[in-house]
Amino acid sequence: MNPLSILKRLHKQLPFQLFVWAGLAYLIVFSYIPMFGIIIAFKDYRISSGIEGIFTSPWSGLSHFRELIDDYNFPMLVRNTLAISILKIIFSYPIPILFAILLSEVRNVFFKRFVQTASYLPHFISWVVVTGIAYAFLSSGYGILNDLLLNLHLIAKPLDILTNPDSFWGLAVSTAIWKEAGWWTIIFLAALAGIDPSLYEAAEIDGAGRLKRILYITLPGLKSASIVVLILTIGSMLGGGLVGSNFEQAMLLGNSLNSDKSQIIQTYAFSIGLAQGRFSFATAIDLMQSVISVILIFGSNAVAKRLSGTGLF
Amino acid sequence: MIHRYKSRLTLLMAILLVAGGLLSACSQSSNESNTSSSNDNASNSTSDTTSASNEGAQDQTCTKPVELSMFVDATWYPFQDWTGEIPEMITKATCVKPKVTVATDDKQLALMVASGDLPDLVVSFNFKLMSDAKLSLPYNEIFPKYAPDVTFDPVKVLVNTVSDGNYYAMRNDFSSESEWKANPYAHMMTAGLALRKDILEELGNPSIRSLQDLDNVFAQVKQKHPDMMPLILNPNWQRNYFDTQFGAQGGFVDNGGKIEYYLRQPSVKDSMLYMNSLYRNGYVTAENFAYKNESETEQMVLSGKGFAYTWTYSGADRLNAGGKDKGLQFVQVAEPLGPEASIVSTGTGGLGVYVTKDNKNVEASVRFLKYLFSEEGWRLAEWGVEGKDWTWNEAGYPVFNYDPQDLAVIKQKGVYWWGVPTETGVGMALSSFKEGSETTRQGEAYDKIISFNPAIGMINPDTDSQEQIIRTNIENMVKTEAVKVYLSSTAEEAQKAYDDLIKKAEKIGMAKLETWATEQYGPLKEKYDSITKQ
Repeated sequence: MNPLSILKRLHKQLPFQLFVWAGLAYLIVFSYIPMFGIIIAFKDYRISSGIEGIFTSPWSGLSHFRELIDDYNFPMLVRNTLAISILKIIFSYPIPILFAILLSEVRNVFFKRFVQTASYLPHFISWVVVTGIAYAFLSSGYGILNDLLLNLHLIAKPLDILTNPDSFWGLAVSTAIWKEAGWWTIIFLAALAGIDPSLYEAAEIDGAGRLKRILYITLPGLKSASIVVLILTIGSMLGGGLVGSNFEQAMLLGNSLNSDKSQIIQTYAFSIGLAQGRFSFATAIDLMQSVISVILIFGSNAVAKRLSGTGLF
Repeated sequence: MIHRYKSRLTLLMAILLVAGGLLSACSQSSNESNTSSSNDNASNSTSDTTSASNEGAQDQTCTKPVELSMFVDATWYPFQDWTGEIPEMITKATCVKPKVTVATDDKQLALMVASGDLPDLVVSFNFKLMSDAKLSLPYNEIFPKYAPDVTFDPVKVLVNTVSDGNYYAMRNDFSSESEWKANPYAHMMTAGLALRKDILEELGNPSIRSLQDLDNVFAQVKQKHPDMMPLILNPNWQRNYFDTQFGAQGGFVDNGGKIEYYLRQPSVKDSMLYMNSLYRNGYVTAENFAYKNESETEQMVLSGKGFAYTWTYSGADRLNAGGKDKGLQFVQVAEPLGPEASIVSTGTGGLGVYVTKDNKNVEASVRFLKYLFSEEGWRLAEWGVEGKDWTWNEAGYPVFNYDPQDLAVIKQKGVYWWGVPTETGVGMALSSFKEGSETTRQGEAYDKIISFNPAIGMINPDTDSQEQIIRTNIENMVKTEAVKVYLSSTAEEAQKAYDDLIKKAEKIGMAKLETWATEQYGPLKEKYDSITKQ
């Protein structure tokens, strides 16, 4: 193709090209240019040296990474981050799919809409409020749940759900599912809407029951959407995956009593790095986590492609 | 039709791009104008005031006050602007009107510093960050130049001087030992314990002179009021009161000229193990250690869920003010509980007002600060108009004609909070003096057990230095490990948890930190002693 014809084509597509370039410019300015800042992970950057300090600060090699790995908390931080993230994937990923299938089978339109709305509303509540609600319900001192169970004589002393380290992972996973599952159901409901209704009609004529229709039409119809969502989930696994919010939960629901199970890499980066103004160290921690996330995305994409022929790229 | 649509769309995009370009150009030019004005610095300082002399507080004909941008690096600051009767009077006296911005988050100052976009004045606790020649102008240069008649107390100069030999602020809430001693009505703020008066009366007002007496009272409360917690801990003042009773100090401790980290002190261990005994005896709940917000615990106390509450020496007075409607009355445990009780004051101040490198009118800034540092200016800012808002008691403390605890009144007048950045420790303490109040009762009793050593407070590792990293890591570790000591189910387990805590601190580098601190301490103590013993 000669350059002239490329120009001609570009001219023809000018309005659409402008949209593309505006989008690209946005990405370059806000996502790519700031990436230069990553180099402070390998430098001794001080905030008082300003933006130019990013380039002029002395190099420190891998010292910040070494400091993180040498920290006595490091094994605990990695364990907690991985455990919470993996548990969230295991429990939070299938729930929106199941919920979407169940909702699609509901025949009463009013009930269906009510359930759908009620289930995705918590998505709009901030984690600060969710934490407040959790305290109001679960506090061992004044929580409604403990009051109820004590008054019903089902327990002899209050349950210490918010302060017991052993209950933190379960608390994190369950509150995240409560908050986000309904929202993600929308994606799968959209995918379900894309399935040709004639397939169901044909299956029904052939004598397939409801379970068989779900098994042989609905589930295969959700395959592509499920795989794309799974790959994205694995890519953002360390941040909490589909339901996200590892950091917010650890900061807000974590306390000095359950910190053995609630401290994660991100909260460590915040308290040791950002809160102390140690931007190089905080960047190093974040960079390490980002590299792991990129590896997970490429890895899961490759596996998904090999197993199902469907991938993100 | 399609062609028309395309050309309109192209036109729209072109307009948007041009508008974007113009906006960015405008922003650049405004930056440039800022830079040029900041380069002028003090040279054009008198242009908009008819008599910007160095005299500071005096009646001047101020036609147009100099506007200075002032950033307050404290998200909780109750005043958001320079309004009210008192700020207006300060502006009249100095011909300076600060344009106030209060931080919306803790990282705002760091971002301003990084972007190089600094206001004229910064009010901040971040002494280490702002005491830097790249960011601030040294007081020891600007005051001799624009207000040569101002002299600062040499002890205050010493505690504010950083490693480059300059001092960039005179931090508030600090007074030298001699100032404290010269003001018998100024009582330094200490940790305190407030008790419910009605329940104490119900128990027959038992005498509380030792921790054992206190334990006995808690046991009686637990027995007679099983639904009530004998003790509620304020999350910001968990152990401080008990530390005082054991003579335990925080931070660095002078042990015969050698600096040790507080964790090693037997008194700290005793205090931690005592906290454990409180938990094991059922006087405090485990969940109390999970609370992060003091208003939450305060509400619990005010709603009648607790008998005792750890706070400051003004805890009972503040609870009495807050619980007025509920009819609850509180009293302080005013006397120290035993001969071991002691406090070593190592504070060197808090908030500083920093004149930044980008300050566009240094002369006006110095004039403004000179006034606020003067007795007349500071009292006007913090207490109001003498004779109208307050009067001097013959004994030497202010008596207010308004309620200084009433935020609505304070806000309307604009009094108190603009005096805070330049208040002295003594000045602040005098503000709290009230004959017969619970605060004063404890203040008087505790004055006897306070000694001073600000040289310890001057040992401050640089941000990002190895020592600072060790210190931060130890403190982060303590946050979680100390709770394990408090919540151990037996005394032996608590002892083991304490030993583990020390082991972890050693692993992080406590000994290295102590060696470094001891090296710093010698010369600082020598300088401090040479000034105070003159």
